[in-house]
Amino acid sequence: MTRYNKDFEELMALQFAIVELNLFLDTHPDDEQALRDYNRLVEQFEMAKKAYTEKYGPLVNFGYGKSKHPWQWVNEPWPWDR
Amino acid sequence: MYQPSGDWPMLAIAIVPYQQYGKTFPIDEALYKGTLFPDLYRPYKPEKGGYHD
Repeated sequence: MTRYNKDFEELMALQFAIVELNLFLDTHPDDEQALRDYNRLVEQFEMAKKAYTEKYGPLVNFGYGKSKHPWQWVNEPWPWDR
Repeated sequence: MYQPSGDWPMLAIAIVPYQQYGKTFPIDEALYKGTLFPDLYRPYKPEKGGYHD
């Protein structure tokens, strides 16, 4: 399973774990351990997205990261395919 | 539409235990297992215990 590069795969893993904790917390809003893990992973996710964007270009088309010149969004292949 | 009559079939009663927060998979493993929680991990293995058994 290496359709994606390692850096992108790390983002996917973080995002997936965060959604899992999101769903758990929806039904267990008082669980402190789960909330701690959620917040820790969100912090890691923010850092990983920033590093990824700086290295490969934007992950979404606008509003969440700067672009180098020339405008990077329309590059092919997509950042996650590289 | 089929309407149950008499004692059979009976209505089902669903019982779902409340999940407790415990161990979690390493996140790279969770991504490919489809769950973060070992308690919810039920890999589908048709060769064992499936329809053809």
